[in-house]
Amino acid sequence: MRIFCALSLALLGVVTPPLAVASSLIYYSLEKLAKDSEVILVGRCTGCQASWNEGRTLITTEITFQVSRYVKGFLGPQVTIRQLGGRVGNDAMSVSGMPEFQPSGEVVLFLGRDQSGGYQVVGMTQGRYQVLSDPDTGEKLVRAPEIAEEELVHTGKTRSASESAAVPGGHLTLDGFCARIQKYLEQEKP
Amino acid sequence: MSKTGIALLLGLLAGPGTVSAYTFIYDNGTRNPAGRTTGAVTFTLTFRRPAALIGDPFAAARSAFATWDALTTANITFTDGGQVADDSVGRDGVNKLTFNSTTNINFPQGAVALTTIFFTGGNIIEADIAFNPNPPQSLSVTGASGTADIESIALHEIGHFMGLDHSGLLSACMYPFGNIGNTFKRTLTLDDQIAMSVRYPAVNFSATTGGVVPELSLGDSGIPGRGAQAVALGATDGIVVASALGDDEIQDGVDAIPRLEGLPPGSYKLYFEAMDGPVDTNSFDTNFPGKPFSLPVTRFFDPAAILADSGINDPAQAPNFVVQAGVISTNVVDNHVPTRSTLNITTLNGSVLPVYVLQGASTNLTLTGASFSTSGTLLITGSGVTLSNTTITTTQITTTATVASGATAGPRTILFIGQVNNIQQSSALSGGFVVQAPAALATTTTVAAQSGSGGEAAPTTSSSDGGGKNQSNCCVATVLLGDRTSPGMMTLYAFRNDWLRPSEAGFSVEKTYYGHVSPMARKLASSQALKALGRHILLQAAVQPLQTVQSSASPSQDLAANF
Repeated sequence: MRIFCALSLALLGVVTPPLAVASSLIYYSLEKLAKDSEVILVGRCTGCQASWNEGRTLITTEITFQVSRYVKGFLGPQVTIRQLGGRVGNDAMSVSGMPEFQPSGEVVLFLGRDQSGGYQVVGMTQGRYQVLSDPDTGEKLVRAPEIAEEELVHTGKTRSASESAAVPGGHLTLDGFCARIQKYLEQEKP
Repeated sequence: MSKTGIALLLGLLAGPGTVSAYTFIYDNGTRNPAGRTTGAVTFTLTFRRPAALIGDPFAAARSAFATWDALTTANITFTDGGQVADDSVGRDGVNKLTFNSTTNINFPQGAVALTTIFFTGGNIIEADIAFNPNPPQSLSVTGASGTADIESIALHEIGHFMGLDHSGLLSACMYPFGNIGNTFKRTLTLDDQIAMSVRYPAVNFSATTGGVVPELSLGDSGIPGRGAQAVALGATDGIVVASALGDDEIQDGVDAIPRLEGLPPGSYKLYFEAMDGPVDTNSFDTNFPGKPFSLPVTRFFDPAAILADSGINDPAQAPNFVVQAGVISTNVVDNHVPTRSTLNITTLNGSVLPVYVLQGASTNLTLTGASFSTSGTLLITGSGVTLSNTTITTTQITTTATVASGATAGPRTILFIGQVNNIQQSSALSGGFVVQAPAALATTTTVAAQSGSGGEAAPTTSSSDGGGKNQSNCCVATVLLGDRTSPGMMTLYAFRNDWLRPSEAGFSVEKTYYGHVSPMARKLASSQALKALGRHILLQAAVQPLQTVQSSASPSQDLAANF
């Protein structure tokens, strides 16, 4: 029985990295997103244009962003990405896990190239962070619960120290969020 | 901007309507949950297979369809439409699953597989499941160490294929994060089963199940709550049965109203839980496209707390909700729940996946997160699981969980109760602790153990070679050699998979073969003399020479593929 239990523990207790199956994706922590992305930007969605392909078998959408800040890489003041899915008239094509964008919505985007050479959001919805405004102060916030927790776990800060940077509920200021990404990128440097 | 662009923007602006139970994919144009008009769906597989994969991905895919098909409470029937050559994904009138979908789509970085769904007016008219032929994560048909199990992925994607969105329960097949290195998610949890059954109810499903529709708002003033989930636990065994997301308050001007439907009659305890990780509303983008959301504390519902905070964190103190067959209870509870502070469990044993533990076994758990009060309490819902040697710091909890041999099998919730900012509150990992019966585990771990030792087990799926409901002995080789697992058939399978399919010319040969063999096969099957002659010729002229070539060229190739 003891051997059986030990075997069970061995089989069950193994820590395995998860697979995100929004569609089926590899799981991206913020650190992995930062390191694996070619471009990281803060921008505002200025337009979405959906269209059928030539054979009318697929709908894709071009989404354009006005960029206010680059954290990694540079693609100019405007960036357009193309992704599967969208709506044309009464017809819609959805890809579960593909990020959707609100016009004028501000986001932090992690971009990487697909096999066509175009840019898409890395890890689908995982690579899109909404920028929100604090209803009281108007300060720009990014919801990222793992960051708030990381501050606590990995830097050994006290809770009150961490909360000075993280808004209750797992939000960081946009500046704090970008600084965290920079920190990950600096760790990469030789 | 063009009209289509404006239409899309309007579509994106329009939020969802009432969110029905468990979460369905939404057509953001119509604000309706998207579903098929019928649960009877024919699927087809494409011929090409991942070049480097050992094993039979087609059998794995068919097995996943068969798992959903076997669900008796849902009126769904999957018919195997066979295999086709066209790998392209998109609207062509065929519901397809392909392992070679680079023909016309570009996978985003990090994508292993995706499901494309076409719908009009909320009706799904076609869907395709596409596996990335160059996946960023190794795949297998066995859930071998370090690989993602194709059957588990297919099971999840088929849920999307039928219009299901994600579940916030860690244990569910429709949970957004899949397992690596095991096959635990080849089975459907109650939450998955109920979701599909609510969407495509079998006759009498609605009459034999019931539901409850609790309401939630935040704070004393009743600020609308949204983006949190309600969870139903079995009142006595603490098993997680189902969950449902609250809807978009601002759009509808009403409180968050998750509909917990399809519950077997009985007593339940209900609680609300913020989508604050591991799952957040990013995982429900058709339901919450880019919208802010609420973060209530985890609280158990109490009908007596009308427009007030129940203050109940411990399931032992929570009242029971009795669900009766054929009854969906509405207006039974409307609680105001405080906004949570930083208290949150974010990882379990360094991951965002559930822990599986055998009846009669124990395991160590490490929870990380924030604002754990050292005087707080950690518990696992239901009876039969005891925690010992528990240590708590503000960011980490360690404990040993021991499962009684008689403990009820099924998913439980891990709950931490503590005081933060002078408010007693809790945080949950719903479905984070799964008690397994030894028999159930033996099946999966046996496969994993075989894989981990370096060998790939032959597929053990119920829908085996050439399978599906429409299987017939239409192939000459099958008629002549009889047993599909015979060495001769294995040789031919390998020839087909490794030599014919990788090339366009070989593909054409195979297509031609399939197009003409049925009459010949029937003729051969009708005569024992012809079968004997044909078998001799086939073995001498094809099988033996192929065996010689294959043994020198690719000795490790899997031979158990599907013909």
